[in-house]
Amino acid sequence: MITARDGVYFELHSFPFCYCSIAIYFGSLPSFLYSLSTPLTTLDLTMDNKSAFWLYPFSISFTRAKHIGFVQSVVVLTLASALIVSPISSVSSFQLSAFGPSRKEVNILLKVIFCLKMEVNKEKYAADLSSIKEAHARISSFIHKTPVMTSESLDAISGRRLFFKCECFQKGGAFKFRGACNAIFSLDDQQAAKGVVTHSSGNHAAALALAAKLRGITAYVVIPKNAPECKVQNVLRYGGQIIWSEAPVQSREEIATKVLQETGAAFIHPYDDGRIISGQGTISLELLEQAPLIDTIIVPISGGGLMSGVALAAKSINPAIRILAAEPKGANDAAQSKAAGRIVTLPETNTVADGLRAFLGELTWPVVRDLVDDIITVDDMEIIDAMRLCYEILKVAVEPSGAIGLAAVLSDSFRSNPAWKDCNRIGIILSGGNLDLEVLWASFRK
Amino acid sequence: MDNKLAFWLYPFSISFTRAKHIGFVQSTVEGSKYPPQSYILGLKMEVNKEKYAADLSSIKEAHARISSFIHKTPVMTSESLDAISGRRLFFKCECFQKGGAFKFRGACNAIFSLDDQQAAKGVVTHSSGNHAAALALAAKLRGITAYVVIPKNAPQCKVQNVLRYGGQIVWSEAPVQSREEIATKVLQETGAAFIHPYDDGRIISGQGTVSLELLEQAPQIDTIIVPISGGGLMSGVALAAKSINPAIRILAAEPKGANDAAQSKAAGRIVTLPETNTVADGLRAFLGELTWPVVRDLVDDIIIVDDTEIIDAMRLCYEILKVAVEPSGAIGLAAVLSDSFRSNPAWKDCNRIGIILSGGNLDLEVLWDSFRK
Repeated sequence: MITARDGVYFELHSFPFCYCSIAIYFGSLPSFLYSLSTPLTTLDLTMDNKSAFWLYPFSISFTRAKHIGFVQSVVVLTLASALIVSPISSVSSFQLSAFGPSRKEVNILLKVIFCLKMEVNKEKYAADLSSIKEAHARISSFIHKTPVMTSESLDAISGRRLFFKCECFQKGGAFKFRGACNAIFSLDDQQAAKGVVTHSSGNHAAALALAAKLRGITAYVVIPKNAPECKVQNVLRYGGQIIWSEAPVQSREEIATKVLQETGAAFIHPYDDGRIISGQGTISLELLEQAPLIDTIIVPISGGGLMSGVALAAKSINPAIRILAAEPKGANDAAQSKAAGRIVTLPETNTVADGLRAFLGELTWPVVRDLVDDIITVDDMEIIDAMRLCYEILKVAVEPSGAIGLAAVLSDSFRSNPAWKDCNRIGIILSGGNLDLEVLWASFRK
Repeated sequence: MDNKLAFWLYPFSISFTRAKHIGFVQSTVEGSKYPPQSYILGLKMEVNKEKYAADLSSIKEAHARISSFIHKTPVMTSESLDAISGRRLFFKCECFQKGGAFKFRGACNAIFSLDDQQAAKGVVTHSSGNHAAALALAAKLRGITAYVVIPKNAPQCKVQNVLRYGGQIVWSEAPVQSREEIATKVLQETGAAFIHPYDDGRIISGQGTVSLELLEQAPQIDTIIVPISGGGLMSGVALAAKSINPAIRILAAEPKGANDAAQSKAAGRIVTLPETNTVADGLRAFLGELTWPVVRDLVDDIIIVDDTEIIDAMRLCYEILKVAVEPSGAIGLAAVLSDSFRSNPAWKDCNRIGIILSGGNLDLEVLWDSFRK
C-alpha cells in the first residue's frame, strides 16, 4: 500500500490540501465565534496528532466551555461535522492518507491551534510564556543555571534516555528560589520595604528568606513545629525571621494573617501566585535549551506551582511535548482532582516525600487540568529506591520529593502504559535536596 | 625566596631542578620552596622534558582521545561555602564522572592507546577502588576483557561497580603483596597488559585532562587543591595547570593517617608507611617512580587534615552543595577549611580556589536502612 511517505509526488500534493484545509478551518470561525458567546462543556479529548488536526474546530470552542445547553451543543456539533465531512467526501480514504499533511505541517498547525487556545484562554492561566521569559530576565543574575546530567547506567535500567535537570543544586537547595526571587523582585519599593510573609514547612521558606536578603528586606516565615530540621536551618542561615506555629494548615494560616496585619508585609504564597508560577517556569526555558531533543518532561507535583510553570512554558515552546506529573500514593490529591474534574483535598497525607503534601490551588488547578497529560502515582518504597539510584549512580543528594520523577519513570504503571511507549527522551526534574542526613553522620562517629 | 630573588638566581635554579644530590655550594642557594617564574618554569620543563612521565601535549592528546567517552563534569559554586571559607571556591565535580570518579579518564586513555593486538589480550590491574571500575568500563567500551584483582576488604559499592561494568574479578588478600602476586599470575596466564592505577604516563595524561576543563570553565582561579594518594591525579593536574598558567598554585590535600606524600616531600625521597589509617579509603596508596618527581617539583605544599575534618567537609558537600562525595573526594574542601591552611601566610593570596571533588563511591547502607524502619 502506498503511503504519503512514498515519493515526492504525494508530498507535493499534500501542500494544496493543507492550504485548503487551513482556509476551511478559518472558515469555521463563525462557529467558533458563536461558541464564544455561550459557554460549552469541556470534552476530555486525549488525541493523537492526526485526530487533533481534524478536531480543530471542536477543540477551540470546547476549551472555553464549562456548562452548555443541549441545543447549543447540537448546533455546534452539526456545523463542525459539516465542515469536516465536506473536504473528505470527495476523496477516498486511500487518497486521504496519500495527500495528508506531513508531520511537520501537523506540528505547525498544532502550534497554531495551541497559540489560539492560549490566546483565547490568556486570562485563564496565571502565567504564560511571556511572563515566564520576563521572570527569567528578572532572576537570571541571582539564580544558578543548574546542569542537566545524563547517565548511561540509568538509561539502561529505565530503557529510555533520561535528562536530569538538577534543581537540587539551585540556591537554597531547591527550585523554589526561582519563584521566590521573581516574586520579591517584582514588588515595588514601597511594598517591599514592609517585608514579605509566608507559611511553609519547607523549601519555599528558605528560598523566600534568601531572596528577601538579596533585596535587603525582611522575610517573616511561619514554620510549623514539625518541620524538618535542615529546612529550618536553611531559613536561619538566610536570615529569615521565624515564627513558630502548630502543624495544621489552619494554625499556619492564622498566624501568617496576624503577621500580615501587624507588619503590612506582602503575603507570598508558596505556589498559588502568578509570579511564583512564572519563576518556576524558567526551568523549562533552561531545560529545553540544554536538552532540546526531549519529548517528555516528568515533574513532581504538590501544590502545582512547579508543574504549572513548567507545563505552560514547555507546551508553548513545543506543543507536542508530553507533560507528566509524579505524585506519592499517600498524597494523591492531584490524581484524584484530575479524575474528578475539580480540586480534591485529602483529610491527611502520608508520605516520606515531605515536600509533596500540599493541595492544588485556584491558579494551579486549571493548568494541571488542561496541560498535564497524566499523573503517575508511586509508593514510598519506589521513591526511596529512586533516591538511592540518584545517590549511588548520579552522585546527586536529592530529597525524596526530588527523586519521585525517577521513581515514576521506573514504575510499572509507566513502563507498561502503551500511551507512553514513545516517550524516549525524558527530562526529569530533580526538584530539591534538603534532607536530614543525621543518621549518616552519626555512623561516622562510632 | 620571593619571585624577585628567584629571577636573579635563575641560572642556579635551572641546574638544581635536575639535581638529586648536590654539593655544599649549590645547596646554599637552592630554593625549592618558592613559586617559580613563568619562563624559568618553561625552561625547567624544557630541560626536564624527559623526566616527567607526561606533559601538556600528551595531556591534550589524551583529551582528544577520550573526550567522546567521558562526561565534561560541571564546575559548581556556592556562596554559602564561600562565606564559610573566606575564599571563592570552584568545585570540579569529578564524582559525576562515569564510574563515579575521575579514574575513568586515565583508564580510557590507557585502554584506547593500546594497539589492537595488545588490546585483544585484555588488560589487568589490582585496585581496591575506583580504578578497578573505571578500567572495567573503559575495557567494555573497547570490547575487551578487564581482569581486576580486588582485595577481600574492598568497599562493597566499588565491587558492585566493577560487576556492573563487566569486569572479571579475581579475589586476593588485603596486603599489597598479595594483590601484586595475583596480578602477575593473571598477566602471565593471559598476556593481558598491566595498567597501573597511577604510575603510568597514559594514566597521568588522562587525569591531567581535568585541568584542561577546569581552567577553561573557571579561568580566573589562582590555586588548585587536589587529593593525593599515589599521585596520578596530582601529577596530571599539576603538569597541565602549570604549563597553562605557571603562576597557578598547586596544593595537595592528604589525610593525617596516610601522610606519606608529606613525609616524602620533607625527606626529598619516596617514603612509604607500614600501615595507613584513614576513613578516606581512596587515599591509601604511596607515590610511584613516575608520580614522585612531579609531586616533588610542581606541588607547592601539602595540607594535612584529620578524619573529623574530612567528614565535616563531606557533610558540607552533601548538605550545601547537594553532591554525594566519598571522604577522599571531600578532602580538598577539608583542606581549605583547615586551620593550617587558613593561618598560613603563604596562602593568604589564594582567593579563587579550584577544588577537585574526586569521587563519590561510598557505602550508604546505613542511610537506606534508616528509611526501612
